[in-house]
Amino acid sequence: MNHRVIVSGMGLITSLGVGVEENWSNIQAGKSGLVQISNHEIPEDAGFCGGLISDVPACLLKDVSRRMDISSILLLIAAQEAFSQAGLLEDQIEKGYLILGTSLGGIRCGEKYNKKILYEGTKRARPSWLLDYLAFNQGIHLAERFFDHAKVLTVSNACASGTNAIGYGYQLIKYGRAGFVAAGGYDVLSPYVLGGFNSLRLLTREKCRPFDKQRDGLLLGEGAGIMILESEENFIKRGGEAFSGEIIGYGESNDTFHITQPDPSGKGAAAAMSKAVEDAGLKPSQIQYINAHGTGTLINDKMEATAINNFFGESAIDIPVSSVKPMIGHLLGGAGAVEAIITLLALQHRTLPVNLNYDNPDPDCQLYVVTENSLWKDIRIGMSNSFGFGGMNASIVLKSIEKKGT
Amino acid sequence: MDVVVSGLGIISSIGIGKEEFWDAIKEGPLEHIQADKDVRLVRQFEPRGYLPDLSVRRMDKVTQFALVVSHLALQDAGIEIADLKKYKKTGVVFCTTHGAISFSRRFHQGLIQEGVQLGSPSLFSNSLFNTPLGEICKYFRIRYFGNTIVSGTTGGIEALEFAKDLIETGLLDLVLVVGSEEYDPIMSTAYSQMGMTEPEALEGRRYTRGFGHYPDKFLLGEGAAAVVLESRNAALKRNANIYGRIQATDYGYNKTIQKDFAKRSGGFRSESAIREAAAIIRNMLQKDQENQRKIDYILSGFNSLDNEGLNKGFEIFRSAFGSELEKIPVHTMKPLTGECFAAGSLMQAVAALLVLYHDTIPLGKGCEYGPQDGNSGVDADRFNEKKINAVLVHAINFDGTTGALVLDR
Repeated sequence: MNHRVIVSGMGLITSLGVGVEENWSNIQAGKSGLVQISNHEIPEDAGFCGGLISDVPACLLKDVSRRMDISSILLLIAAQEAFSQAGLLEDQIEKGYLILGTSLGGIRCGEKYNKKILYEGTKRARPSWLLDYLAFNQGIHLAERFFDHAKVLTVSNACASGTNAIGYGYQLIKYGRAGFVAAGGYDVLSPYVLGGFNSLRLLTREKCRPFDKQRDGLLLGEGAGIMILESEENFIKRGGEAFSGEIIGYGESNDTFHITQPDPSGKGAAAAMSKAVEDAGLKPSQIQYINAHGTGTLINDKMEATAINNFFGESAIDIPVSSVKPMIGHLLGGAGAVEAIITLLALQHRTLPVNLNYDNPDPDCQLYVVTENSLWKDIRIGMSNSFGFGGMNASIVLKSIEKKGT
Repeated sequence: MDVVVSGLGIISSIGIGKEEFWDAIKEGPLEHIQADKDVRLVRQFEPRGYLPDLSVRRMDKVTQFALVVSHLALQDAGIEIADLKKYKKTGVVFCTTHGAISFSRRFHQGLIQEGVQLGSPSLFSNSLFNTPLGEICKYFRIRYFGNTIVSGTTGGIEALEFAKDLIETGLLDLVLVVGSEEYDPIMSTAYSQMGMTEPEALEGRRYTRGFGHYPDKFLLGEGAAAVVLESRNAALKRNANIYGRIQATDYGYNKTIQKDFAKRSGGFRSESAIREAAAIIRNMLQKDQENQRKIDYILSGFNSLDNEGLNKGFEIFRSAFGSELEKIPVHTMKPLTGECFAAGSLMQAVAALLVLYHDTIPLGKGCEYGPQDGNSGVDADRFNEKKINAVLVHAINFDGTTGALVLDR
């Protein structure tokens, strides 16, 4: 027996704000949280921009260890909101399932450890930094906060990780393996990440312009997103009051093409979309919005447009598409989770995020790109795409509810 | 649906391939095997000896291990790359703890020394946790499914449970489960800072004592393991050799255990933590009637961390099995292989499957804890008089996560 998978809570933190409400309000206003990044480790002349979370309000940091990596802190903030929205208090949850996606875990602690060893020797390097660097430790911090017992699964499939985490959570509930899963993703900005993407020549020094003819690269961001997923039975049994929507399909594939480049034919990406739509029991034409991976790199956007056109066929040009990466940056392992939440918010509010900086349509990206902020009637079903290094492709199909809580 | 293992691959410091590995664990530590300070390294590993067309230039060791061990497992399962096309729904589940830690360390040190604008692209892209998975999918043309799990020493058990679920729910027909870990000197620094290893004390030792009376520290290790999973019916249909069935799995974080570990880096001691860890085993064994069958052998994940903590740790099994434990030999192979973290629990599973396959309890000299106090070697003849039908694989991680797995005939 398959179970209905509902989303009973969501939590979000990005450079656009803390919390679902602040993020959504800024997305609706078409704002961008991307700024120039310079500090003692990143010189201004490097010209790096990104979605940096400059200040985490002190009130949100209470009870959080100052030694904890910032990735754990962002994750805890997002989770706190998601659990609270679901009406779950910390001491109410004895057992649970946590599935988290990340690319680099607690990379900032890893950097501190390496740097200390290099310049000051081992005595000055705290072993706790290395523990916090381990990519499964952030999930443990989360488990420690919310559960006495939990199954914690950390998945790391580069930029598809967040979508994978929610997809696996969805599958666990759908097939009756779990009744309750907190799933999401996170990643933080750091010299390691900026230096890495810079070395691959994927960063732009200009604006991030997904699907625009002048696009020349991506901008990175940081943040976390958590969804509380439950079977309908579990939700009713615990007396849950309202939920935001549901997940109805998930699909993934591997390009088997190149470690850092997508297959230009878009076959792998189309296969993931196809599996997700089939899993949802829909026809391709029933997808009403696509939140694109849309990084703003030449190769990715062309590949994604090709894949959308190949899979959706004639209906492709009628499906509105947008990427929120010009607003929040590319959150790597957090991207899929944060963008799935934004997709569901868009469906709930019948308002699609605008694809910022789309000034010159690219004939190689023949898509119906959303450029205006307006009300979209009858939009209830959307898809969110994520594609990552290692040839990873993942797509998820979400559905809003007619009226909250029904 | 029964999910079975039909192919094994292993790369370890005590042998590459199932035969060499089995010979080493069957007889206990061999004379020529010595630790290099605090680590057991994989020697004489030449990936192109197994995969002649592989381009290994710029490829990290975790990925090299992962590719070769995948090849060994598929070959053992009698599956050629071309055969994989016959399976519509094939997937890979990869697990690791540190990933390509040498590449990530070198990339970051390069950034510190040369500046953030002068990083090496190949060091960066190969340092990502899912690079081995991507290379496996690419080399073996596995397009349908792939996932990387990052975890501690329970990672192999988590990966097996994840893969088993995929087959049982019909999402996949065939899954290659792979774990891989490399050694980098920064691990010696970090784990010795945490009081877990002691490089100088271990120089020249052939093995540490898994459950010994001396306060050994643990050996680090490196290596990889892979298993091919499919449904029993599918394996029978193609006349595959079946090593065993994955009868039950469970793993989980437990706050009580974590708090106990956090207090003492050398292991855990409180009665409540032992009870909680034992409960995971008991619950798994009692999930259904069939699972209540007797366990004939336990392959634990203990790694000589701390004498008192470990002897207390052994109490997990006493608490879970009661007086029955008198009849169950308990081993750990980590003194032989070194601590290989996530890949280590998959290596344990491979060893357990070989025990079932050969119907033989390894001597495990120096690596055993006898039912009473034994440090004198398991009386293998006594235990080998009966058939070995079910083996428990157990792992425990310092983050408070424990994992257990039952493999049977």
